[in-house]
Amino acid sequence: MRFLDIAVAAVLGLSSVALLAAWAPFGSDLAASQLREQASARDRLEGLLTDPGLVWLQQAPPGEMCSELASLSNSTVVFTATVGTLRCGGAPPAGAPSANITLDFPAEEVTLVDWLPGAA
Amino acid sequence: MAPRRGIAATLATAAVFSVLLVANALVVSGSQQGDLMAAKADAESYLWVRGTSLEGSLGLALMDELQSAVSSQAFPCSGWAAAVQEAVANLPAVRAAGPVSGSGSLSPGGGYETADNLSSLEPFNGWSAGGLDVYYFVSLSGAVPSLGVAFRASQVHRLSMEAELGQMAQLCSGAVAAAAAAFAGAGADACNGTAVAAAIARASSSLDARAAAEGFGAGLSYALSASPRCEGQVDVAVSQAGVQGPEGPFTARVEEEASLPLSP
Repeated sequence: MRFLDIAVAAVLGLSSVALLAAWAPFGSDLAASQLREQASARDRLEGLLTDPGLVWLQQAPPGEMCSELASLSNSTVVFTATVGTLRCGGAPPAGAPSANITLDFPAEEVTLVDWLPGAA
Repeated sequence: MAPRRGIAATLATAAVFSVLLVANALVVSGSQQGDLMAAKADAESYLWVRGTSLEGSLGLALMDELQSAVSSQAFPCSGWAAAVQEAVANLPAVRAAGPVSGSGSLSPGGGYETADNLSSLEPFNGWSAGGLDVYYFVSLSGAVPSLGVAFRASQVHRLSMEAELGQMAQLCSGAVAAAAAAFAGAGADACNGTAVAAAIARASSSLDARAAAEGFGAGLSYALSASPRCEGQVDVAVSQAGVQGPEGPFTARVEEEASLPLSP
């Protein structure tokens, strides 16, 4: 009987610990954190619409736009763009929070991308 | 007593772990609610940024249209305001579809109290003294149905171009009046042209000087005809080069062509 009691208690305890471990909320905290970082990347990209502004983005030659985006990039955010067929800057690394906006100007399509290297 | 202690220990273990599991369930449930809120906030952020981007893009497309309309014609010096209003009112509305869809149009006036500026369209943001001012109406809508998140906005913004049509029209009308006075003052010799030419030359140089002082270009030309009756034809044009438009600098123009009777 004692062996049976110990076995039942052990099974109960181990299965409960396994259930607690499997059902932990850490994974969802991580997902929420990634969403917040993605929203942050999106907000930074929105800032480009005001400064340097849409008119500048429409009128600037591709090379000048690439230089401006490079100068706005730093250790916390990297801006890249595709202007027509010209692409400046690399693609965001896998897992890095990123955002993009496509602007359909009459002359050419401009896609702005930013990503947060520190959060990758 | 030993078997009873074993059963008691098992029950105690079951009770403790049950409490832990219930507590964990509550934590996980709260976390899932947090996830849902985070996903909704992310969806709202996504729709907001798309909406902001589209609002600016549609406004810029309309300012492109306005530039084309203003640069492709010379507005009449008298009645320029009505002609500009008609040109703005005739501009087609623009639409876009996507995660956020929207439509926009320009209106020449109307005193909309709630109109505000649109900083993404600097340097066309807000109104400029003496410039070409318009209202920009924009409606946007989008949704992420799976999360029950919707975005809807209707806005009125003030936009402008520094095309000083009113100032140019004033110079132009003044020059036409000066030409009319020159014809009227030519007296009986009008149709031989000599007296008129001198008076018109004075009016023309005065127009050139005033226009240059305000950064405009100007031209005044005339013609005389004696048959079937003695009359003069005057053509005045005033232009403003280098007006900043979304597609680059352009020239805005006003012009007046008038038939003026000559004194007998």
